[in-house]
Amino acid sequence: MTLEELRSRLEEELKNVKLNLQALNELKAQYLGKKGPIQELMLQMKDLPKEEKPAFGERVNALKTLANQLFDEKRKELEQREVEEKLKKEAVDVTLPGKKFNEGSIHVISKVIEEVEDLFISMGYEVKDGPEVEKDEYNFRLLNVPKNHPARAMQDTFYVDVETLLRTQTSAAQAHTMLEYKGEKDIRIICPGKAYRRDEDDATHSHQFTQIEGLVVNKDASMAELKGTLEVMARRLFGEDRQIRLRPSYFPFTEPSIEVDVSCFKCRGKGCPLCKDTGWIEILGAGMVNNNVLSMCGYDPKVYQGFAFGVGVERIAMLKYGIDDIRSLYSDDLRLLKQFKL
Amino acid sequence: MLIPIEILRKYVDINVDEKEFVKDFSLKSAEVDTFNKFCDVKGLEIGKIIKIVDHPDSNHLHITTVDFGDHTQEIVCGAPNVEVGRKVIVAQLGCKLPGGEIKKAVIRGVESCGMNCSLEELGIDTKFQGYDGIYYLDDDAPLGEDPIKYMHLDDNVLEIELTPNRQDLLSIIGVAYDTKAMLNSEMHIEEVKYDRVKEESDITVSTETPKCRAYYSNVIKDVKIKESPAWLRGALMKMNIRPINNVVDITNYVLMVTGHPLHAFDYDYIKTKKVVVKNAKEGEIFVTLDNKERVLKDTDIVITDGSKAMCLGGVMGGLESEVTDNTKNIFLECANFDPESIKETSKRLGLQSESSLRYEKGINPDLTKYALDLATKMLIELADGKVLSNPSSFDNDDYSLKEVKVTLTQINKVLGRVYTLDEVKTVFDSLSFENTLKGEEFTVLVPKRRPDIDTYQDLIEEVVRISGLSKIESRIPAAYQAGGLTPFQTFMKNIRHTLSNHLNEVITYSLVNKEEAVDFDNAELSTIELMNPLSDDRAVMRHSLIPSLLKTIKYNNNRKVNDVAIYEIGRSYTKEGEDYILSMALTGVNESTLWKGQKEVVDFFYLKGIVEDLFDKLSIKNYLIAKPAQDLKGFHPGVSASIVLGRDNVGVMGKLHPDYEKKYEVKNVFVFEISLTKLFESSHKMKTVKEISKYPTIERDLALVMDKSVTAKELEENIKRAVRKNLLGVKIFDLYQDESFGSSKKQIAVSLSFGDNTRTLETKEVDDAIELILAKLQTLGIELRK
Repeated sequence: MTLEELRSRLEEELKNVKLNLQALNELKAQYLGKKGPIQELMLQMKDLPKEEKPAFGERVNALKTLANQLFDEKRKELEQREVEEKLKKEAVDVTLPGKKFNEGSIHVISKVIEEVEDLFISMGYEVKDGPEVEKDEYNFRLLNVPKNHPARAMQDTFYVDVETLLRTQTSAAQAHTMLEYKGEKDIRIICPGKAYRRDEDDATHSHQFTQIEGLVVNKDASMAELKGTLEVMARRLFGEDRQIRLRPSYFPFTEPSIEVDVSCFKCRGKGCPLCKDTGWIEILGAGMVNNNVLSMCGYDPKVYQGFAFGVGVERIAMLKYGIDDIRSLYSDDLRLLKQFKL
Repeated sequence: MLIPIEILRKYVDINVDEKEFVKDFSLKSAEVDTFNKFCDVKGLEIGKIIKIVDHPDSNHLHITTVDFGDHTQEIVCGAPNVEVGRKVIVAQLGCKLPGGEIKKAVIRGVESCGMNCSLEELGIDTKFQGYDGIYYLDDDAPLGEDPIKYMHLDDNVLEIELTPNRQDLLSIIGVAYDTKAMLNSEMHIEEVKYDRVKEESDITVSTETPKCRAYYSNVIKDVKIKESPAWLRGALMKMNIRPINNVVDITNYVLMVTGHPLHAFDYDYIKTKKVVVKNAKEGEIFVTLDNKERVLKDTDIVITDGSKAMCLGGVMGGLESEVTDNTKNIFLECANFDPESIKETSKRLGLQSESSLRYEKGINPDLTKYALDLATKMLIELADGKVLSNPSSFDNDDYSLKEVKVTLTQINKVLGRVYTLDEVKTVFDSLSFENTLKGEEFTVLVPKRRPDIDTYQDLIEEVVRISGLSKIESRIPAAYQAGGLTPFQTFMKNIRHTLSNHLNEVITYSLVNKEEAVDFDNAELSTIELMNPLSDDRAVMRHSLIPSLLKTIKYNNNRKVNDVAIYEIGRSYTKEGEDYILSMALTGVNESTLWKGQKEVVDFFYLKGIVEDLFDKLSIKNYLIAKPAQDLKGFHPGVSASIVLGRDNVGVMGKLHPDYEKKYEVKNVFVFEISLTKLFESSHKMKTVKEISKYPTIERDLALVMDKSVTAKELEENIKRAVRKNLLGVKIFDLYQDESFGSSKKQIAVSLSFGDNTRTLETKEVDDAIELILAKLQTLGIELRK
């Protein structure tokens, strides 16, 4: 076979579409192997006249290089085709559902607490808690609510014995902190937690509920600072363009005492059923710490003053997410729970 | 407290729009609950029934002819009490009543123009009428006029919610004082003047108890007991009081106006001519005017005729001395009693009334005499009474005024705003607080009507509310300390955030029933019981969260949600103390790719995996999940484990016992509970990273045959004990039980990995290690599979 014949046969064979990688390797071995036609040509060289040898050798080598090149190209082409075929075979319907995990969730009460905690921590507050089965002293007496005080009627209490009760407010934790800090240290705390009142459960009452109390005691905590603090909280919870307004109220542990309204986030103050057409929604109670509380808890009212506030977590959650029955926060229906994400 | 604006206006000028006033009131005085017109029906006319004929086609309907002065109308009327000559409220055609619009109608063949109305049909509480059928106006009612206007029922009524410190707002006059202060307007409490007849009162009053501080009286003779005039009945209705007769209505009206209770006795019943206030005798029986026998205690105050009790002072009158329709002469009392005593008596006997409520909270003694005079004057005017001269009274009350001081510096410091002396003085003056100013210090003489004002803080409250809370400007305090969660609080938050990936956080009630409280308590702690529970279901504090989680599963199962994976972070409450606990409960399928035929049904190991993963995230090491030493209460004895930290059992996990499945009506539930405080104590903080080996690890798999009783844990521990060096890990990758090993045997396949941080291990070293392991295992009867 002449060189030219060999070359055209090779080119012809490589065009064969049925060729796969294995066949290609076989073909390559066939052409370029020890007994292959190219090697044969090389062997023919020894029979040639001396002067023809270099030229012939050059041509055979060129053919060899060409053959290698053609095989390489073909292999690459085949490899790519193989990859493409594999990819085509492996293709999936990406619209089929993914592996289904139970959709986890955080309880809306925890969610609101965490939101408020994060905000107050950023303002330098510590987070405190105390016992829920509490002594009368911490829940009432140290908070300026002696026995027979009319304010006790405002909070029907679960009693364990004459001196022990289920705390009716997380402010009980404040008295613990004040005593712990011994009338010396400035205080800036919030106390989130459970509290209990002897109310029959209905759409707006729950015998167990969650409160976040805040307390600041130092030498110049003022009503203006209280307002500023509550404004920040109202805006964080209900939107940056909210306003707050203060109304007079009464709590035994604060004087002056105030009730705080936030401008309605549904109608933006125009009046709607949510705000009962007033444009305002009551969200919490607050005030300047009563001097009796300060002195009973070891702080000299001539030196120290403070403010305190208490917010009902359920109320915030219900307002914020349009939940109309407080019991649904405790019945733990997964269809509701799963809507609340971190 | 209900405040009809028309009555309030008698005592104070309201110089702004009523709506504005009401808004101001809520921002400066007390919370406003409602503000509505008492009756807003238009199209009513006063008519007089002049003729009644039976309806030809009905045995209960009548055809009434009603005169309106300038014309008459025929109205079909079904009321049982129709009567000729009485004046009625007629809803004319087009009148919109709460029940619908009045239209010309043919009722069983007879044309009817309008309707004779009861109060209820006008949307007014039926209790104010007191009888069935249509409502009758008094004979003076002007024909053709608007009956609502005639009875003063077109008035706006302000309903306010009172805080316990503001008893002064339990009266129209008290509200008038606050109104005057906030509007800076004028009050007018006119002097009450009336004439007395020459005849002198022959009743002397005295007290034998210090609990009666003051007692004023009048004897009013020849009273005519009758219905009160329309305006007075209207006034009472607006304040939610049922009109009875003129004498009762007058005492009630004066009570609401002044906040001061009065009591009227039948003068002729007091034969002894003596009225003596005493402490009741212990065990004394007294019949109150509701015809009930009451057993008295010596802490109760009674008004006696010297020996017999006639009235339970400040709480309720007696049946025998009561004013009736036949009463001719009245002995009128206006007294001031000890609040604590009244509170005690009314609470013990369950007799709470508008009177006792005000006595309990403390009445304004400045109005004791005034209330008596106002009522007396009204008895003259509305009951034609004659007042006797020289009435008996005593007054031992302390009228000295409390002095409270406040400085401008205190005000400014507490409120965080700069007030002027003028601003503050204006507030005190507007509240009619007598005050003097020396330097920057105000000395305020607190009037008797405001016993709530005790300290400078109370005065600051008056300043800020009357001058306007809106004047306070927001200021954000500078942070002067770093805030933050404690490590334990962070730990709990991390748990919540880790578990909330694939579990649902729930919050359930801490109060449960007695049985559930201890259902999963293996430590047998003592239960905290309530003295005054609302129900047996919420009577004690729970030891464990598991029962509530099971109930949550049941609740959701009942709503066709069968796959449940929930957790709660809460507390256990026992007499031994409170502890933070974490509980989980899982059932059903929580991971699946259904179209691939894959779903993982929750089992013990699924739960264990969640627990181990959580512990890993929390850096809890050195814990054991082991077969419990004793069966755990509530758990399947063969599918449960204790979680051991050091020597303490800190938690439990496993499958619910079938008995408990039945009790809680759930199936195939796996639960977990652990003490978080104990868990927290053993969480490690990573200090420095572990070096990662540069050298290869060598893995060897062994198939080992052993007794079924050998646990995976024992196998693993013995392997580790055999070679302490270079063994990096033991992984169980297969469990195989087959008859070919004999019925008491099983096969576990383990994968061991070896390595050294400083060099590549020789094959021989690994071979030697394997031999050591096999030798060790052989002593336990564990063989390499042949």
